Amino acid sequence: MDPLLNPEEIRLLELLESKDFDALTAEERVFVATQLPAAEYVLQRRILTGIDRQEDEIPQPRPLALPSEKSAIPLLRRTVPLYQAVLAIAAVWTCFFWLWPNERPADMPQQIVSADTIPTSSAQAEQTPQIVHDTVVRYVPVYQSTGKTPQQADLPESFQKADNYQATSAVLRGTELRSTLPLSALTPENIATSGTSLKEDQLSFLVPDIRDFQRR
Amino acid sequence: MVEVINHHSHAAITDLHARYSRKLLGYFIRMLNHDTELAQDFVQEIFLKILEKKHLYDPSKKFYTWIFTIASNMCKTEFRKPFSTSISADEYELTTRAGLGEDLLEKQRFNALLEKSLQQLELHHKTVFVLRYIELFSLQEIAEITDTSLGTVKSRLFYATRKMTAQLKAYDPRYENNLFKMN
Repeated sequence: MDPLLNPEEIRLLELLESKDFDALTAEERVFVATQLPAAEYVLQRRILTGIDRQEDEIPQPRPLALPSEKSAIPLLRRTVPLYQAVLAIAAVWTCFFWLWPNERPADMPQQIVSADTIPTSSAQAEQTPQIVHDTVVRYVPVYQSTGKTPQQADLPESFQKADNYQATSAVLRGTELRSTLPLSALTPENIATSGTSLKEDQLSFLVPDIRDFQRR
Repeated sequence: MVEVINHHSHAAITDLHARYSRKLLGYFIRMLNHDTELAQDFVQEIFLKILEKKHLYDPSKKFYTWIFTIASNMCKTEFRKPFSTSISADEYELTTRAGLGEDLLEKQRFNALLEKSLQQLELHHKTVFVLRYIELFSLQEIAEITDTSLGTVKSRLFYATRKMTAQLKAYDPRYENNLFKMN
């Protein structure tokens, strides 16, 4: 990018455009001499004025070939003002929501299907639930108080002998019930441990006695 | 032009073509390194562009300036494609022809060199130079056409002339001798 001219350079350009070196006044010649040699001024002046405009050498232009009046400009090359484009987009947007409003009935049935069942008969196929839509529904859990605490009568048989506190805890840990033994199964034979106690183990001398540490 | 804008009439655009096509052809020939065929195509194209972009015309401004703005932009687009020309030492001798007077010979030789050095300018320098000293636009009009400030136009003219002077000095020892003598 060229730097902007200082006032002296602007004056020099104006002189170059307007006067031959011979037509310069004495003061202008002195000014020019501070900027460039006189021969260079003459050459620059000759460049500006001497360039041949060659108007007679310009050939005749070809006759204008216009497309037919109806289809003067191809549709895809036609340009429109910006406001027309914006209005067109707004109109399309409005029409879209007018024709297909974004509404869904509140009681619209929803079926969530597990797709791992392959129907083996036509009757089963008819019963096979269909995917209605793929909308992900977020269920908001609502907790309602039943006003009833678990009673002994509601509990499984195996817990009927336990007290209320234990039974309530067990109900809340519902998933653990399946792996819990019934009370009747808790016999001394069933709960007996197997293996050798530390006292009877011959290798127990290898285990340090913590009482020695406590004494220290 | 107003008639073209309003009625898009073929008669009006034909009239514009008759009025400006030669001027534009001369401009394109010079800007496109004397490729006359390409310049003829550009003249056709510019009148189609006028029809396409008629809504962009500001009636408060000169039509002549506007049409040269389009022409200048077309050249700018074209010049993004690389090209190269250079003044060879042989060019210096090319214009010597037998049978012509000494002055005429010298003038022809100078003009040929001048034309070559013009072709070697960068596009932004060449554009302002051609618009100013060949198409004879005012500085303000050139600023409008090139979408730059008045100061930028002056600066480009100044440095364009300097570059051409340097090239001409290099290929014509007489100027170097004169400079030596005057200094």
